[in-house]
Amino acid sequence: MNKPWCSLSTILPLLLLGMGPLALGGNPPAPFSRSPYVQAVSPHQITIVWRTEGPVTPVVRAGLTPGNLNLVVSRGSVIERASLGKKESEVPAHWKSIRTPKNLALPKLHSAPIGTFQYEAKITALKPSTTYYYAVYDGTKRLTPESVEYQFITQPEAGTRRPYRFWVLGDSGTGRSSQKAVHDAMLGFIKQDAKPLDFWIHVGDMAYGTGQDTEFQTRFFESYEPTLRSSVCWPTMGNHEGSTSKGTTGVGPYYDAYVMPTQGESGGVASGTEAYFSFNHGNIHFICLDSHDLDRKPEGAMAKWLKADLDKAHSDWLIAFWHHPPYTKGSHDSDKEKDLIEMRSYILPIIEAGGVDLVLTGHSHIYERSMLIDGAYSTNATTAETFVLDDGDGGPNSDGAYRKSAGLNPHLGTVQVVTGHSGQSLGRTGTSPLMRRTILEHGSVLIDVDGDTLTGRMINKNGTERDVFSIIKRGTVAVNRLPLPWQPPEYKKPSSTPSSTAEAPLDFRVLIPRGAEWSYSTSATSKGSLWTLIDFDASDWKVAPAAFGRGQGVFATPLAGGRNGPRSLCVRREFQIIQTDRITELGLRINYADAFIAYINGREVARVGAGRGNGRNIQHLNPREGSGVQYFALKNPGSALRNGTNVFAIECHAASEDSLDFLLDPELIAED
Amino acid sequence: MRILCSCQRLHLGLWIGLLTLMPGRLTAHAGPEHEIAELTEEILFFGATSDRLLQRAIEYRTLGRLKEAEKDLKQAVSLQPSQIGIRRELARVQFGIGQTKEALQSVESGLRISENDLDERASLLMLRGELQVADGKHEKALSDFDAAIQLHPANADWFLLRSGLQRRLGKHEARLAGLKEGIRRTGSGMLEIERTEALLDAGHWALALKQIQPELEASRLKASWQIRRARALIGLQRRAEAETDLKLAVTEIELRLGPGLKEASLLGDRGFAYELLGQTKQALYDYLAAMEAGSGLEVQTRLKALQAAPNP
Repeated sequence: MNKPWCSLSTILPLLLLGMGPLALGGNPPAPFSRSPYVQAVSPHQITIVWRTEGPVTPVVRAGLTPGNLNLVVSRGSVIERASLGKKESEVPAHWKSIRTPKNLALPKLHSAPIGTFQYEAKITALKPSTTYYYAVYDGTKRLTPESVEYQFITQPEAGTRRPYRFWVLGDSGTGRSSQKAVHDAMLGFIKQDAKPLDFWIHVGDMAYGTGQDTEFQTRFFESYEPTLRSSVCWPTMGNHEGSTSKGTTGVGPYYDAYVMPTQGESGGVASGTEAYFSFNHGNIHFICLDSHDLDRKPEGAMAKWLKADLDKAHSDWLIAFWHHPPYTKGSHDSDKEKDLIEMRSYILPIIEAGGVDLVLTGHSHIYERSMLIDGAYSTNATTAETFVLDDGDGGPNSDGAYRKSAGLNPHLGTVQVVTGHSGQSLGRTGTSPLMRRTILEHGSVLIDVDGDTLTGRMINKNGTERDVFSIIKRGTVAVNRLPLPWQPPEYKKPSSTPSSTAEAPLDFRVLIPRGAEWSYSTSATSKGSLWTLIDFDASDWKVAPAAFGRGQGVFATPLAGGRNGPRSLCVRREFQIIQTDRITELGLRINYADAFIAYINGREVARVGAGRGNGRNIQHLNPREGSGVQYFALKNPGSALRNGTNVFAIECHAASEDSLDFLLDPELIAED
Repeated sequence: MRILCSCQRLHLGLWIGLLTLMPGRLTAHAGPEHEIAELTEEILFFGATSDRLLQRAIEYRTLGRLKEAEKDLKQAVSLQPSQIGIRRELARVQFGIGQTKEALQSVESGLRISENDLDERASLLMLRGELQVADGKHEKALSDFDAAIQLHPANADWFLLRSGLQRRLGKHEARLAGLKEGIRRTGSGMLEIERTEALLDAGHWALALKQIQPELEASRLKASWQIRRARALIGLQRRAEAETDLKLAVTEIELRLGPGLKEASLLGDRGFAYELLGQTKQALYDYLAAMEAGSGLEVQTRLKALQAAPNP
């Protein structure tokens, strides 16, 4: 059957004028709009989640060998959600037919592109610690390729002691090169080690800038697709996801993306909410908290649940994770910010009284790892005296592992790891006195737990091991509170920091390529900004290819020089967008001199090198310093764009009559 | 080289600064002070929008600069009156400053435009309930909590908040019924615990004891459940057994409290154990310490009752 939605992924690229190949990464193959990934694993069940453009007849098959997928989950046992638009009028023509009463009755996705269907298939009656292969079907038609990479391993039974490995990262969801490098470095490291991941933890900020559905798609799901398809990511919500998702109601793109245990399905006390929960993995008990938008006070529901969960935890190891770090001097300061102070003063006392061994957080764009510490809850400036139980570096091959008594005991020491360095631009304001390692490099953390030993490694984006620490829980170890522990060297702020330029996304389509033909005019600036509107008649404008310019360099369309030459140039060109709600970011890669203002359908979306005003009334033009192509993300493209034909327009200005160089060489791209 | 006058320099400095911040601002978040500085420049240069003001207010709030947050939010509301979320944020900030009356007005204005957004409406009703509690208008608060839960019956936290208020109002049977519904809707283990507390508060000692026994056996840390069992045993006139439980609970809590004495719920629990043992002085000490560590109405209520008792 030829379904209109099945062909959309195929025709969409062709309808985008001047489309070029994807630079890196890429959209999922049709009909998927989000490739299958695994969620909510336990010893006996797992959930496979995927999205399609338009509905399918959802079927998942799984089995112990790729050739015998004898376990079947089909419609009726699959949770379906859909995005069909709030009003008929806002639905693109090609999706009108799917607004059937049956589809409209489905649970709604918060803000996914119209036409999106999400399927969540729970496979039950599985054996623990067992590898299964799976495939996703549309009825009888197989959608996933015949590949052994579509596999998962069920959790071991609670309490099982064997080696486990998990990956921890945070603040990564930018869709830029550092995120990819960190992911690749981890994959390279575990391949070299021949020790795969059991699962992974994301400590929040996985979809910059505001956790919108399209940002989740391009900056999380497409970025980590190979890892997501076979190992479960256990998340906690960051403040950026918190812009569009709410812990109080459990509604938003974050809650659409994940399936989390609310009824204690994976171990622990049922939380009744996806905002905070716990799970077991073998002999480790994990606790996830929402540090962003829920009450953190001791009588709040989350703190009460935490205490109840810790009361019942019987694992060898206790590990907690959330977004806002109790101790940091990275891009955030835990002595100044309320969210961080509250996690330290209200939540940490419960954590440490419950015997938690390791706390994983993010938010601050840095890697910081503490000594073995306990009891530092001050709401004022954090100090180290008497709160450090072991001030060594915890390195198994240097100062030696941190030692704790066997079992779960209160106040025997916790190690804090801030791992907000997995993609976003880095920052540092000082040094926390409790930290043994502070490293301003992109990277992530691998944790290995083997019996009574836990080992953490920070792997930077080049694949180099930059920190290693261990905790050994064995025998009886006396607690020794150090009155004058080791002090980290004082942080000296660099006198100057290198200026950074914005980076284009890795996964993009070209809407208007470099060298494209543009309608142009050197006198249109006298018409205000009317010429930027979509219905402006530019039929008397000349048409020529970029680059436009004069001075040094070679230009496809040279402009006159000297005092008679133009000081400004207006260019415009149409481009097509089938469905604007699939666009994550619109960006301009441009080489220019000296200043420009860009418009989409008459709305200003970028202004560089120019002060107030436009056209002839422009003020404060400044000669461009430097040269070469720069990237600018356009402001609020969603509100400027419309389905179908759009117009992109640029006015470019020389800074003065004496400016020798004048250049405009643009390329419009879309991250989708 | 052109010579610039001082005002031109200032202006140029501003927009040159913007050139460097513009690309970064699209995705980065480099600490609240940095964000505030960048948003302030954007507002100065491009003008105030509700989005920019809301973002800056959130950063101000993070730093505890609530007055500045309030100012931005008021302006954001005036720029985009239809945004319910901004009004809710404003009400929260005003509540934080102690401006309960103004916060109520902000909530009311949000409620007037929330007919089509039931999740937002439910959040606003819960907030109005919290404001009513702070104002001592408990019955009105309860009515708001009921209405919010009816609109959004999947939030365990809200069931818990309502239960706390019903306890203070002595509405034990309604509380038990509400918790039963909350457990059915959410499956929350925390509401199960609250239900045991509600059974004890309602004097259903034998029923509570039945709930407590398996929980006690399943728990690694037993003090909370030992105290609950002691309450049931006291109700059943089994004082000696209760005292054994209470002493065991105190011993466990002392081990768990650590040197800083900062775990509010443990201090509250120990205070309650002392109170049940008749050791009033120690109970008062623990309740005060718990309040200092962040405990709220639950401990405050016990503290006040104890202080009001003859010869505390």
